[in-house]
Amino acid sequence: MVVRQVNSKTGETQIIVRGNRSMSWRANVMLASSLGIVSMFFGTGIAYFGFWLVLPFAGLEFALVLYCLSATYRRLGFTEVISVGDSMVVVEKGHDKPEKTIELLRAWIRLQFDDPPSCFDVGKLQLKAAGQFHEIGGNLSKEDKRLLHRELSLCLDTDEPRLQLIS
Amino acid sequence: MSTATTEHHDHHDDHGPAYGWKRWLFTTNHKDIGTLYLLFSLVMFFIGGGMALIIRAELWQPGLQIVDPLFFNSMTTMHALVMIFGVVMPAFVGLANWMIPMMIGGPDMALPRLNNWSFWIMPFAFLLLLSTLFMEGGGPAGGWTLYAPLSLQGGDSFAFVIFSIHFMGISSVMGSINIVATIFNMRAPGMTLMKMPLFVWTWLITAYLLIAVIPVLAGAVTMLLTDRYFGTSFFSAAGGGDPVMYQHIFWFFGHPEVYILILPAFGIMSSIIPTFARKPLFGYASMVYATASIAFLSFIVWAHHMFTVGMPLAGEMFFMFATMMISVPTGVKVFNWMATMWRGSMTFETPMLFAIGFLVMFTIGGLSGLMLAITPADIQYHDTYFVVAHFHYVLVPGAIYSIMAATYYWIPKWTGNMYDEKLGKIHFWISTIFLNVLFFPMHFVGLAGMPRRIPDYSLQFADWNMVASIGAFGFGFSQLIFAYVVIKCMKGGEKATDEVWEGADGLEWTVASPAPYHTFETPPTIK
Repeated sequence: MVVRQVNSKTGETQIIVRGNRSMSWRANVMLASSLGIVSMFFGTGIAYFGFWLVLPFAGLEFALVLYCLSATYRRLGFTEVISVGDSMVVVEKGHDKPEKTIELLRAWIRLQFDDPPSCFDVGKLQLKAAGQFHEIGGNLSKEDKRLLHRELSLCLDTDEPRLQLIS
Repeated sequence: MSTATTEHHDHHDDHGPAYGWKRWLFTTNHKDIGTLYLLFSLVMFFIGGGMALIIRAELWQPGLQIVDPLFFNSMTTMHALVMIFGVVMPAFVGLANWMIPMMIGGPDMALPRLNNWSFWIMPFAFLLLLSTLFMEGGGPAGGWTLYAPLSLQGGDSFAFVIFSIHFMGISSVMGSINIVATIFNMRAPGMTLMKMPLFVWTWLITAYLLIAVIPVLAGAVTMLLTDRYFGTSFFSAAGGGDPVMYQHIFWFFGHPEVYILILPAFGIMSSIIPTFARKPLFGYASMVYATASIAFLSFIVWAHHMFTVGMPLAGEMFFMFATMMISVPTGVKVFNWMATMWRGSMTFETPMLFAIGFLVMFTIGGLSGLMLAITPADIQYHDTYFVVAHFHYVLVPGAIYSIMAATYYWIPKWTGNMYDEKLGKIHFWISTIFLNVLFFPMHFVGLAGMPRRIPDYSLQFADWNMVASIGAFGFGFSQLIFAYVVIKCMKGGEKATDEVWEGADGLEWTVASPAPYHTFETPPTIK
């Protein structure tokens, strides 16, 4: 999901890239537990009578449930906030809170998207500045990356005529 | 204080799928995978149906005439395995893949690559299973339940059967986890649990059932495997094991499996009936609770499949009454559907015809189920054609009719074209007539004592068996109409509107027809 916000007072544009997460982590844990406890209970009950081979399958399945739910939750919670100011572009990344912040000089930024033709490759969208590449929208589909590319290009290009006038 | 304006971007039309076979092999798109599941299910339907016709051709008259008894037994076993695991379950998963993300306002399934794996395991599993028919000793012939010790006495294809069942199980578990993760985590803002369409609810509960019982099946068949090849004696009385325990373990999986095969059908009916009655579903909350109650009860009734093994009286009483209790939530559902239709502005397009057919004939199957729940009566009916009639009335007009109803109902949304209504109605009426010609006489021969799973029978059963065989061929060939209607609709036809049906309600009807390759990338807000 790509959302663009414009602060009417400061004029700063923020592009927020995130998934739509409809359930809390606590609820996910409860769900995984309820699924796991039920199948482990059945496995244990049957093992009590000597037929223990149900138990490893129940355990494996519980592990898979836990992994899938946590992977889904984590992926949906990953957020990138790209703030485009007059002179700086700030990229904040993290799960539920900013874990990594990158500050880039706006004038030096180039946007790069390889947009591969293969349907199995989602491509890489990067901000290039000061000889360094910073990937953004890494968890988006190719279509969403194209959208983010378009939105960012629009934001970054907005003030270009002013820069040209100065020179 | 500053104000902020928010722009949401949702684009649906610019980037479609890739072309060629790789699209289908590597796709992670829920609609593509849904289509793959549905087409796979259709192919397996004709394979399983072909097996049924071999069975009915052999039973055309008493005596052995077409196939040898071992192959006949392989056919009854394979027919069941194919129809249950290869037709009904994949079709429901296909419908879930297509519809659940659109119904909850999600962009796709939560774990798209897992989704791709879930599907592509299935064809390999069934290739493995069907290949056993060409192996030395033939395919499995001990019934789909694979009861020990009979199933352990077959040919060496047994290991392939077990592995194919494992693959089917892995596929089902991965699909179910994906569905649970999707429904809980990817609902659009405002789509609370009690606002979800009934189809989503029934699939959520079905997925829960699958996750709970598939390890039991996996463990049971693995123990069969180790008994056969690794010298264990889980189910061998000679080695201190207990063959009856296999039945307990199998049916502990098997009975919830019955509800896995029917709960999504309830969800489909709850979508179709309100649309064509042009009224909201009567008693939405009670439908949700009834579905959950059925799921819970399905865990405590397994031994009604084995009343004849010699259980303590208290056990028989418990399982008899627990089984009868299931008719209460099921009755809630049936009466709610009837109340939804009551004084509705009904029209009878093909999906509605199949829905009404479901309602009437599933109830017949439910009533014979109640008869079978009565322990002393079941001891008489056990392993007769009455049981065959019962579960076919539940599964064919129940599960299969619901899948057909769903196909007619949603295919305009999938393809963007209306199906041929006249042919759809012809398909319904021919199917319904022949279905009853096929299965109703089985009640008579069953009550008269004709045992199931036999290639030969006594002379007194000849007439009704001939009638049933006529019904089988009529029903079987009438399904070619269904295949024709589907293919015709995929190729073209009258363009469908976005809403498609006048009384349709739900998020899936708010997107264009055919549904764009990507929908709800930005979630809608539900009020």
